[in-house]
Amino acid sequence: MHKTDQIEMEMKLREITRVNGPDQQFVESLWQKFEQQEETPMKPNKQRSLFARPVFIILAVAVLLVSALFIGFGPKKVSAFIRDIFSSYDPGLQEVEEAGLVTDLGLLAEPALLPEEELSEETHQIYPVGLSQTIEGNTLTLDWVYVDEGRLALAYTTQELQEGLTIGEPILTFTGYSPKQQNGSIQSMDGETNQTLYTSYQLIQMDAAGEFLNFSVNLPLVHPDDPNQAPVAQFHFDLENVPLYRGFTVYLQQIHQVTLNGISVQLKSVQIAPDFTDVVLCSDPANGGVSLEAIQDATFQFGEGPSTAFSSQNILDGQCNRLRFNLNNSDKATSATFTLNALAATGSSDPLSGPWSFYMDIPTAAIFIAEESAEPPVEATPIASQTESDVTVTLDWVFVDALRAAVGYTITGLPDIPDSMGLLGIIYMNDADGNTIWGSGINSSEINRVEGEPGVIQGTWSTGFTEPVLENEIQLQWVINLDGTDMSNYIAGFPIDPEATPYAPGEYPPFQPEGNVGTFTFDFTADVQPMTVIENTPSVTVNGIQMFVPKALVTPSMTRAMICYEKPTERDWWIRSADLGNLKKQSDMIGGSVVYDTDFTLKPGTEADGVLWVVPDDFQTVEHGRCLILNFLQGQSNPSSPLILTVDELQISPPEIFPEDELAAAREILKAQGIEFDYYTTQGQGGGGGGIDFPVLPEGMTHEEAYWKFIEAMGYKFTGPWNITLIE
Amino acid sequence: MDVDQTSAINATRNLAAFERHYRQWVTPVYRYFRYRVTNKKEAEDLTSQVFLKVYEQLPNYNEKGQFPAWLFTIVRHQIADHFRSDPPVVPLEDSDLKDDQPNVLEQATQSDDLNRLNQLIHSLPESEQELIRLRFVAQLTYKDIATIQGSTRDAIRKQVSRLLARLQDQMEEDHA
Repeated sequence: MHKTDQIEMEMKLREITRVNGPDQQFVESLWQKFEQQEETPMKPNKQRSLFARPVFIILAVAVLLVSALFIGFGPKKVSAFIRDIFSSYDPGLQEVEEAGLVTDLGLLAEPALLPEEELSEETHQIYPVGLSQTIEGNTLTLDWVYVDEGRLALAYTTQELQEGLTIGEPILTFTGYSPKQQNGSIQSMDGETNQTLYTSYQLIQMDAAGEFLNFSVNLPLVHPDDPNQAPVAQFHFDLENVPLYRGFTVYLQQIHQVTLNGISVQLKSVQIAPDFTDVVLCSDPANGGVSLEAIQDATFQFGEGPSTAFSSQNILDGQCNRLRFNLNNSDKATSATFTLNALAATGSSDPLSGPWSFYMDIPTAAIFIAEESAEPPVEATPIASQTESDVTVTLDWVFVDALRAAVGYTITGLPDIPDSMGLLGIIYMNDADGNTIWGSGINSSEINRVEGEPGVIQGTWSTGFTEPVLENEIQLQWVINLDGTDMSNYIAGFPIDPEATPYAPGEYPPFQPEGNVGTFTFDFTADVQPMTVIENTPSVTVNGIQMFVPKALVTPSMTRAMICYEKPTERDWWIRSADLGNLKKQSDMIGGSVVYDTDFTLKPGTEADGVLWVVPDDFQTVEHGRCLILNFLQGQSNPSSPLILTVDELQISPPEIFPEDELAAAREILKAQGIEFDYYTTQGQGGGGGGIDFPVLPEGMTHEEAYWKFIEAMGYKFTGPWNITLIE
Repeated sequence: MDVDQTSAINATRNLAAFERHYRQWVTPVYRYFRYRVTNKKEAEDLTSQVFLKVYEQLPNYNEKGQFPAWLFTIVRHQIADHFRSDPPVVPLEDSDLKDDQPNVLEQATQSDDLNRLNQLIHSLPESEQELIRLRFVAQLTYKDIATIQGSTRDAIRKQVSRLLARLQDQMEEDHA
């Protein structure tokens, strides 16, 4: 096809497919909507605190369930993993890894400690009751109750119980509301104080139940050897206006259901008495359970103590079974594990083998009462791996420095889709108060397939802190929701093979996962790598423009630098490209923001205001002064090696309509370089537009290259480079 | 710096990042929709919905030069959703596109060549029609189309070139 024919055909196609651009009014009107939303910080997909959402409770319950399936992943070759992941993109984290600064969770005995939840006395308090009743010489005092959206706890003290009697499982009856999802209970009696703490796990949605609850508590007097716990008598308390707290600030775990090879077993209740421990197991045939005929092998273990086999069992109704262990918590362990190893089931001649393992925290009053929080905190369970719908997410490593936090993770269980474009869902991080760390313009997210392991995906993700973290340690929560139902929720894309065959439009490239797998939440504490503060670098002048860095913050994984310069004119002269390099690597800036400009009424902050980026006093007299903050995903784990910031050019955004005099001047400049251009504008009922065509170009020059020549000829660009040494 | 100041600066920073994307892409996205739906209002609605999704997800988006691919994935799903609920049954002549660009349609109907070319385009496979929409309607660069299609700039350039040659050949066959 002759070139003239092709051009002619292109012109015909342009003509036949031509549509006007949008009305400027529409463009600005839509933009204003975003600006109005931006009056408060961006809050995508989250209207309130994570802990304030009922769904969080559901997810947390799932976490409890899957923690039973916790797998002690063996040590991983983290170094190779990060190197592979970041070789193309995040030199900062790659350098961090090379310096040995990441925390490989798979290598630690206690990989991911859950934050030690502290009860806020101001917002969450027990509800004192202090009512006593005496029935046939048996006296019981209901000391207090506590209710949030995931836990109901009550403490009672018994006095002078008759020999051979004890208190069975409390029965709670709510007025005007029915809790959802009963997920088991635990009752533990302290033989020294005679106080018993009962904690029930269920969902009580504040949105439906309101801020206060009315309910009654029946505490049955039972014979401890009666497996059915038929009440001899009952203590009864009616409670009104008990405050219900949002979320579940009191952090306790108890696994309710474990499914192994399709067989589900539920832990209904645990009762820890001074001279025995009872466990009630149930099955739910509708949910993968089998009728429990007999437990053949089961053990109970307090903390790290010995595992003890059960001494007796009683089948309650075919669906449940009460096991008794001659075991007490004399060492005051704060956690326990019940393990069901084998059972006989209806319809099966062979025993079903486990283990079905159930972890549980043993609540203490100190957890609920703030003033007693000086007590040793509850030991948290390491959770480095979670499973939802057969998909497992493992938190492999974490890294935190003063400017950003990063995690590495592995996903297994998704189907292997070689041409999948990427992962859909939501990924974010919360601080210890449950506030999401949005990144301050510093985010990275990478995923890769693992060679030789179909379906296995490894990823890294990082986010930036708004203000530098100055503490030595930080508590964080990382959340990843794998949800393929909404194309607009994008976690990361797989690297695209340059040789890949393009998808036919209309045939949408596949993304993963199909449907909503679920949300995986990981809490951890991490050491914070400190930052180096660099101030007042020597200025550098190129092309008549002076630049200097009044302040730069350098951590092992990234650099934030404030750079100031005098603009050639009053217009919006922006640093279009810059990079940061040390002896090993060079990385481009990932973005920036203007903090000071004399012509755009951005005034300098002062140290007295607590502003991090202070414009030097003597620069505030410069006529067209501007200061930017530039971000680089490259840092310096070794502050003694050099670090150089290079600004390639300054540029202003082209105006919508080019002035005729500037066009005429540019035309002359470009003509000398063999470039001719046509500038056209269009107007119509549907709006207008404009553009540049290049009918004459030097051989081999692309339109894009010609466009940048045009921009330079129009005087919209100042070329550097300015090399500023941050660390010599 | 107090919390309000911090929030304000963050908001400005996020907004600035989003504005750059918005200003650059609102016209191509609108054109793409405008060519495919029957009236301006629908195109504006679809454009608004796409950028609302982008706005909400931008903090989670990792800028690696693949923004066009991500954006046009949303665009394509938006138009697919739209056609599921509102199939494109209205003939072009009946739509208000005619009001939008009277001269072009008038020319198209008056010109045998353009009329024939229009028919040829609509008889092309969907993949090639999409290529035309991205290149000539949305007026994207080869590089951006390559990013969207998961291909290379040269490969896209060759595809377009071959497509134009084939259309030219078919036009000439008609004249012969």
